Amino acid sequence: MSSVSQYFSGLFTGIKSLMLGMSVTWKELWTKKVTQQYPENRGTLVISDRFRAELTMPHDENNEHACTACGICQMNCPNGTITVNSKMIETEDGKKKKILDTYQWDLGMCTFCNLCVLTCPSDAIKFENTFENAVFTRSKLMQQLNHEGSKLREKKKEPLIPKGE
Amino acid sequence: MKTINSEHHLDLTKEDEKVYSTLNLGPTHPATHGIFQNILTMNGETIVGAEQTIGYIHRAFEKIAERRPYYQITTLTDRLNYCSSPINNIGWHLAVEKLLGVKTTKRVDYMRIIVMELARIADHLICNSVIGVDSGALTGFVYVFEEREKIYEIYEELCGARLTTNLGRVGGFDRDFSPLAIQKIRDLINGLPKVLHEFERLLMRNRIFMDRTINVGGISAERALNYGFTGPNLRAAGVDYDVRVMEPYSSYNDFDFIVPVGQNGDTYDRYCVRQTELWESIKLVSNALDNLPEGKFNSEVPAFFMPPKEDVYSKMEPLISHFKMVMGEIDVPEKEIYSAVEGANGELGFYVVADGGRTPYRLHFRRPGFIYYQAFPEMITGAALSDAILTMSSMNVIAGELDA
Ligand code: SF4
Ligand code: SF4
Repeated sequence: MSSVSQYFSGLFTGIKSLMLGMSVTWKELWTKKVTQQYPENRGTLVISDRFRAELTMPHDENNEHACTACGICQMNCPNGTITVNSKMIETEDGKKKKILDTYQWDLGMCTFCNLCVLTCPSDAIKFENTFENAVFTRSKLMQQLNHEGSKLREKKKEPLIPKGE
Repeated sequence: MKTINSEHHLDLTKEDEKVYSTLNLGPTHPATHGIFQNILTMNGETIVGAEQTIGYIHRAFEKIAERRPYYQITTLTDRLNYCSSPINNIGWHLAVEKLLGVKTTKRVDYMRIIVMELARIADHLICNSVIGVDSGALTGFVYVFEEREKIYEIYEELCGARLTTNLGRVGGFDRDFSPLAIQKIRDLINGLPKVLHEFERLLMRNRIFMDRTINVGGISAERALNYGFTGPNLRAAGVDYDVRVMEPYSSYNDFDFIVPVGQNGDTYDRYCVRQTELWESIKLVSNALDNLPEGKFNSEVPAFFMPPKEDVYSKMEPLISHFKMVMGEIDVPEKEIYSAVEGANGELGFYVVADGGRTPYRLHFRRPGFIYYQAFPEMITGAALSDAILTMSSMNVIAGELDA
């Protein structure tokens, strides 16, 4: 007798727990989804402004940047990711001046620690939140940050990177 | 069963060798969560001897650090316990501040508490849900990862990175919390209790889970102390040691919180201690956020805290100090200090010997995970193989800390 009642109580407990489980599933079916359909949602994707994804050197409309080629970022980078190549030129009034030739940043070696941006005295570089950095060949990871034919801008002008960034 | 001598080597006779088999658990076994190697001697399903290998990811952090200026070492600490890197960053900053004798403002302290407790929540969530995974309950793991993702989004909003955060600086933060970050923290602590309740309903009183974890991988308080256990693992064994209480740093003494202790030091107690700490951390975050004082988000550390960029651009003094700092020409007192914070898995200590130069003379990170791993063979001897895996995940040994 007891085995029969055990059988039925087991059956009902089984059904009860199944219903309980299904009710959770049913509820979850109608709750808002938390997963994101990347890359379909590219248009609505919000990435924090502070996200450190890609080092850039802002240029203004005259193709001028703020980098004085001092090499401090290169010195402070823990990984040797940055190479600042400078050259000497002679200005119109006969003075010798060191200016930036090429600013190389190796994405593949960067740990995105922000130390270069912190230490740059001229506020010439900043991190952008453009995170889609995948490339097919390794050579593409080597990026030149200063634009072709760019110049050093005047010191008196408004800083390129707004305050507080 | 054979007794094990002090080096954990078995004295096997010819007869035994026929019965016992050797099993390599790791170094890249999916159940070991990282690069751990254990050479187990098995008698059927039972472990009779174990030997652990350390150093699969040896990166010589201390040696690298000896050649780096103090503020560059923060990037190395990210990689210790990577589940809660903000605690490591801030712990290092606190150590350097102690070396320099700098006092931070209350605001900085409270901001640090918020960040550190968020990191603790993230770490405990991972650890506890992984105990579930290793005992066969994957659901909870997937479920709490949503919350962990929210914490990582908060990190993104605070500092710009998710895993290797390099958060803050010596003397404070680079930037203040943005309003969006504060909003996100509030959303998190409002939503977390519901998730935690549900997670606890999944595991805490689950008969299967209890049978799998109670009396598994236990360690006595005495043995734990001898090994140098700290953090949740020591508290689970019944010793109420918490660096936040014993040696309050970063204004932790302004807050009331419970330090949970267990009794048996087994896997279930470790789980429960972490679970209780999660609730305390939520309270700490919301208290700190509600009472966040006004003020500066950095303290002026003359030679260490970089002056605002606008000033560097236009004034002489900041320019000089900026250059002095980035060229590594700062004066550091000749001192020997030890500074510790309560990391998510135990006492994370920084022992610094400074000789006045731009880099530390010698340095040692006290990695809690490294110490737990020493006790691992003792804890799993005599247990079944599946219990060993459970023990490892419940001790929260992080592979990043095993590189000493
Ligand atoms: S973020 Fe760090 S690793 Fe990357 S270039 Fe800057 S200093 Fe170097
Ligand atoms: S980016 Fe800044 S730190 Fe680097 S060379 Fe240019 S001015 Fe100097």
